[in-house]
Amino acid sequence: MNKSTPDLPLHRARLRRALLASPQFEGSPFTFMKKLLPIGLALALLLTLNFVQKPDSTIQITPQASAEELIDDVTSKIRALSSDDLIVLEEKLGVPDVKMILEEAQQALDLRDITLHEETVLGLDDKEYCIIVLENLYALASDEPNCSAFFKDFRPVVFTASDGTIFIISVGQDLVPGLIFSYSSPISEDQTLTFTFAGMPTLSEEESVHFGLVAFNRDITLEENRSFLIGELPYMFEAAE
Amino acid sequence: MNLQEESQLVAQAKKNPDAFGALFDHYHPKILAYLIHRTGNVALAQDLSSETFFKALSKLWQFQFRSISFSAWLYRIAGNELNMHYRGKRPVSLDALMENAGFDAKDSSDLVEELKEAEEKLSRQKDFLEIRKKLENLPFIYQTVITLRYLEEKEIPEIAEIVGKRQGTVRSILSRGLQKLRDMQQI
Repeated sequence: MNKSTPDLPLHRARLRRALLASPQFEGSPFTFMKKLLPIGLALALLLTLNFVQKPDSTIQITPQASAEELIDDVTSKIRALSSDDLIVLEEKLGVPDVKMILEEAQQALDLRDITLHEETVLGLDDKEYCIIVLENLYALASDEPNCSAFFKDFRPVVFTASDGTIFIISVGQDLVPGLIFSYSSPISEDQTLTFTFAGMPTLSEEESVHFGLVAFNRDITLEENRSFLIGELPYMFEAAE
Repeated sequence: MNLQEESQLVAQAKKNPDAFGALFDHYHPKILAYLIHRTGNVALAQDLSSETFFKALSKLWQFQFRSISFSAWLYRIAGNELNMHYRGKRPVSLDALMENAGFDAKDSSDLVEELKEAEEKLSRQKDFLEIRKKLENLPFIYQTVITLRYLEEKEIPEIAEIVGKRQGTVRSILSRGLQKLRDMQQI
């Protein structure tokens, strides 16, 4: 098969000229921080207006954490739930067999597609990415059905196991557990999860936060316009031990 | 260009337009070819490649060789631009990008002619267009991996870097994608 593609030398030359003379070339960290400021202010305002202030629950960002490890961790926690807790969870999710779905999830991990708002991952600084995910996590934690576009296809369900572990599980349109988050610190279900962000946050000793992110697609066709971003999750949040 | 040369050029390109020019000269043909392979449409690929490089330029100062090479980063940007196009976002033409940047976007009949010739050349590649049509029926990730492997002739480690998955995962996707294509042939 002939794979060669036509070339466009005139277009290339024009694009090159435009790029090299672009004022964007002057980008600097200071410019970026100025851009970050409105996002930070908006988040701070949101938290102030809508939440009771709790002791800081902050998150340490470590890019090394892998999605697989976190998913394994959350999955094993769910498997360890008592049968009573499982029944309640299954009722909440509206699926008959959570464990079976998780087994499928484990097998499907190799083919996972992760839905993510594309603009949040590309070339972003850790802090900006963290802020955007925090905003979305807040929406899930408050069981707000009108989540941001990031989770628009998923319906969040907040579940507390008898040992106090909170799970925030999103159910996708195919009734398959989609996004799975667990918050390991004992916390009551009606308590607001507050995440503060200032400078470089550190995790308090009493709390650990694990986030796992899995989305299972089931033969999504292009016509349904369910194109998923290619496994794009450069940074995951990891608990400080 | 090896990784060290690339790394040095990227560091220089953050301050020096000429260094960015060298990166552009090296990567634009590859990115354009990749987007033509993905879209089967030269005009669309042209616009997407322009957006790719403008985006890369605007984010360049943030780029670090931490978890991904510059080449893989560019392919990722291109893939994301393509994904956004499929989600309904129309790519901005180079004319518009230039106008936004304060340039005079002159209409050039040479450019129009060049595009027309390129489109005609592509339309003669029946085998490629047939394969591309079948690929369109696969989920996005399969299209990406299969295109990178067989049309861009990338090795598995590089594909894994571009798509951000483990090498084993890439092999699984490739194998399942090819099986899906075979199944399509039999229908």
